[in-house]
Amino acid sequence: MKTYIYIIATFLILVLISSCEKNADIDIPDNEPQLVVAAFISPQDDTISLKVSMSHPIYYSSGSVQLNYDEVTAVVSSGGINHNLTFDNQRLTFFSDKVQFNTGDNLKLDVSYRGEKVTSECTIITEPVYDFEYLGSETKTYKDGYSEGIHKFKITCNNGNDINYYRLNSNFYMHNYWYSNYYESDLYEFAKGETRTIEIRGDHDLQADSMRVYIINCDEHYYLYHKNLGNSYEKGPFTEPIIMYNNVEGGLGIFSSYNMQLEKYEINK
Amino acid sequence: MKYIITIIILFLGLSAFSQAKDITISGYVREKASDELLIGVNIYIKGTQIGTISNSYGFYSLSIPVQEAKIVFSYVGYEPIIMAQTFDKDSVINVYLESNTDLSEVEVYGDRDEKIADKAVMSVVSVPVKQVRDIPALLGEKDVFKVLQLMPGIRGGSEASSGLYVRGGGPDQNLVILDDAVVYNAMHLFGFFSVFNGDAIKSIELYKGGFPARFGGRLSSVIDMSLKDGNRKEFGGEASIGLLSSRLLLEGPIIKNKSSFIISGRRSYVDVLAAPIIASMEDGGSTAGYYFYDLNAKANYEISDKDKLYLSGYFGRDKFYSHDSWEDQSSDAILFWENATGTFRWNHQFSNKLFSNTSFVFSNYQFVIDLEEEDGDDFSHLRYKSGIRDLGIKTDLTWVPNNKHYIRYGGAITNHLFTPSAIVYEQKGFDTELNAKELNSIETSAYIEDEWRAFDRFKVNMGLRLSNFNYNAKSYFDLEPRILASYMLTDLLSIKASYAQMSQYVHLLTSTGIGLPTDLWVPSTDRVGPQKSKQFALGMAKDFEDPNFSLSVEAYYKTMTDIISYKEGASFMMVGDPTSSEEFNYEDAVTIGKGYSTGIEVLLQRKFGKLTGWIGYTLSLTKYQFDELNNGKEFFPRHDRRHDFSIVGIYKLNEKITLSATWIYGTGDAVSLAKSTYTAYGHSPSGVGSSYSGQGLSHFSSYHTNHYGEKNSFRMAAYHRLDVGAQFKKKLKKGRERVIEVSLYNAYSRQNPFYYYTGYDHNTKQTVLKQVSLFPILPGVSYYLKF
Repeated sequence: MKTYIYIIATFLILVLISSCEKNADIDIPDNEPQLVVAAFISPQDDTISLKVSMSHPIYYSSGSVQLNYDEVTAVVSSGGINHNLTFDNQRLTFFSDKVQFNTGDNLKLDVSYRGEKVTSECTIITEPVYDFEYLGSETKTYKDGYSEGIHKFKITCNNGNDINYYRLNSNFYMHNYWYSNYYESDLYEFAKGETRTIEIRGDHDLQADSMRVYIINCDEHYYLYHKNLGNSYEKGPFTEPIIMYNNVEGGLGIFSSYNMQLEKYEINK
Repeated sequence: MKYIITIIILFLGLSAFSQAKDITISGYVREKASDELLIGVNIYIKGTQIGTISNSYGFYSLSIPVQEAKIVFSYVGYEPIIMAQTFDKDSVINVYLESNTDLSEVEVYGDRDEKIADKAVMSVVSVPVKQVRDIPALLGEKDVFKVLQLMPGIRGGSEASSGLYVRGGGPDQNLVILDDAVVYNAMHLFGFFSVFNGDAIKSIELYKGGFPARFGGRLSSVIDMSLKDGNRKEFGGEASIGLLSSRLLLEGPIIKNKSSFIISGRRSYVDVLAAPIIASMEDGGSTAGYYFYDLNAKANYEISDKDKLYLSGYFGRDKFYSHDSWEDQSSDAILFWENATGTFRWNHQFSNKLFSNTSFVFSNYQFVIDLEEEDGDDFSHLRYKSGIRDLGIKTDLTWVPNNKHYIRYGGAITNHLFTPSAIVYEQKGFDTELNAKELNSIETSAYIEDEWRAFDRFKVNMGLRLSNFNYNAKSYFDLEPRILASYMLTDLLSIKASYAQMSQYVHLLTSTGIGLPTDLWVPSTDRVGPQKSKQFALGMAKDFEDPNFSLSVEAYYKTMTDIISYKEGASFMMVGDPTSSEEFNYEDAVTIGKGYSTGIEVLLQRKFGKLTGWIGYTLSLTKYQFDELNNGKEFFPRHDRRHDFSIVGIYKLNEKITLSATWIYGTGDAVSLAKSTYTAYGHSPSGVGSSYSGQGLSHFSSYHTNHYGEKNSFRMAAYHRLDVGAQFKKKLKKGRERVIEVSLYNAYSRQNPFYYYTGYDHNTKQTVLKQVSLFPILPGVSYYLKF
């Protein structure tokens, strides 16, 4: 009887945990390397910086695809003027200096490499128009004993579009030295005239005495791309995959514009 | 719209009262051997279109316009009764039908028995419980939900899952009702088995469209199940031993012909069988195991001919446990989830035309993790709990004013208490309670519906449901019109059309496609409103006389709005993270979108004869759109299935042997697979996150990213599987019967994909896509005894 029970138990355990694996016998999704580009254009900058790389196919590839930068051609054109970008070996970035773009300029990006060609377009966005008010700071202590500084601001968006895409970024300073960054989600959709109270965190040890807040009005491409990017790291086996925003025809990546203002505040604890 | 509804109600009211004086025949229909009330018995005047069916409590009321009539009582699997007599006044006739256990010998009586053409319903799946027992199952474990999955328009989740996806809707959109009580997370063993094995179930009906107004609260389906009442004449029972679990059912009279009970239990015993092995491997210092059990019980008491009381309940639990001990240290871990429902019902017959049922309903689901560690004098204890508890009352009235109208009306009020996550942490010298937030809400509804026989060949079921949901200061209110029309072109062919609006006020957060106990029920709030749907269906129903087949073809189009999904990068682990120091609102993890599903379903079915079963085919398309998923573009949800085919055959070779087989085929699930990886560069306005932090310089920050293409743009390999079974029956003395069943699940051992992952092939030295399959060919054996 005992033997019988053991046999059944072993069988059941084997059945319950039995699973077999094999190479999938199905059509794999298209698997060719693609050009990846990234550029964020601001009218406040006199340079264009462009990152170019190649994607690495996952299946049936035997290593990463190395890009020969010398064979890459990158051009940003606007109003009939072409800006040829050159490669900076130190920053591993294509760039062009002494450029000046204005609000409303339409820009086109063309990048080619060994017969592959990608294109994208964007329009220089207007500057952020807002009312900004520092409401003060407070310390929040959670039930598990963790404390952090929370700095509250009221911001009203006065840009003219029905939907405006804002990004708020900040640095904390102690005795005029950089101390820490604000890493949390910092992207907001504002309706015309909408006011929000925003909490900025990241002052972990409550030692910062001043902060800089970068207020950005960005285009929709910039906004959607960064929204995806903020979630892109794996958070567990059950999370929905991040489908990265892409506005590059023939390849992957982003070509977008932003317009930034800086506000500085002393922290009142 | 309001005016149209008012006019319809006024018209119905006038019409209901404007009939000439008829004679009303009413009563209950029971099974002769056990006194069990029978649901859905056809009662009609032979040679006319005048008829009715017994309701969920076996009650019927039929108005006859003539004094001499042949009244037929027929029900598949039972000998029909024909009552030819003269009626000169209203009469109470209680009818006892005799079971004909051999369906192959059933003589199809007259022109009504189990005909689908003349029924004013569509999009309803009704599975005889006897067929559930005959169909081969995984490890021999009979499962009501897995039989429903074989019907067109309904599909399961991943391999062997009991989850239901109905007409493009998610698993959150199914209302599972057992004796008026809602059952939440009705799954055992991570969804491999549903909690309903069919032993104690009397009837199962699944509505996937054309919803009558009496049902509401979910978008895609209503699964209405009733427990048996128990034999009022004699004691009896059933017992079954299988590879995974054993079952026992007992029933009998408490007071003969007045009161009865039924109790049915099941328990798995993997833990018991594995315990000696684990003990021998760990030298007795450790134990671990898993089991599930469920228990159904019901008792009834007939106070008088007009009043009956019922008390029924269900309790089921899955539990994982482990214990480790060494020297003066020990650790215990327990993870369990459990369902409990209770229903107290009072049937009252006001008159031979008016019947009521009032139910007091309780339902509770909870998921608990309990971790305890001891190390000398130190100890720590963490307890995490989530769940939902319902308390409610509902009243349903059936009024049959004449033979043209069958009116139902009623209302319900339910208090939902949600506990998304409650955590208690105790340590020596320190204890705290985190996130112990309970969300209290009230859901109310009222409805009226009328099945109106406008003409002999034309029936309409029209109704209106009003629903309301209150959570904190937020109140939602909705009007849900329902209409279904059926026109008989010939005695054996009808066309049908329906329209239904549905609202759903409670949401299920789920992201896995399998039935995890962590799936979380949450209420509509001011930020996340109710889900809504509108569904149109058009169909035909055709009966064939010889052989006795029925064919239904339906096309549907369903829109869903305000449906919810986890945001990209979010999962239940964010909602219920016991280590989180912040209060987390589920609204932060979800996004709101819309979707549509359209399809054609074909069902060719034979319910009696030597060979019974069905062939089902579904051609469908489902798409969702969320502003925050797939960059706002439409995508196929994982459960979108273009083709779904099933064939079920049960053949009674003779009185002793029954053979059965099912074969299913379905298009592969839509999933997202990473095609490539790349470095995505983000803009760092102040150098945040880069080596330029704090220098006020705009810069690039880099992220290692996967490229998936469009969401769910990849199709898994098609799913197909053959199951076969054979039952060997033997009549024993004193009316006993034993059945030995052998079955093969996945008879040709098809390696269906459970999931894919990226792996490495050492032969080709390349990264490849690997497929993991769950169940190869699996034999099942069970022994069943009826006594």
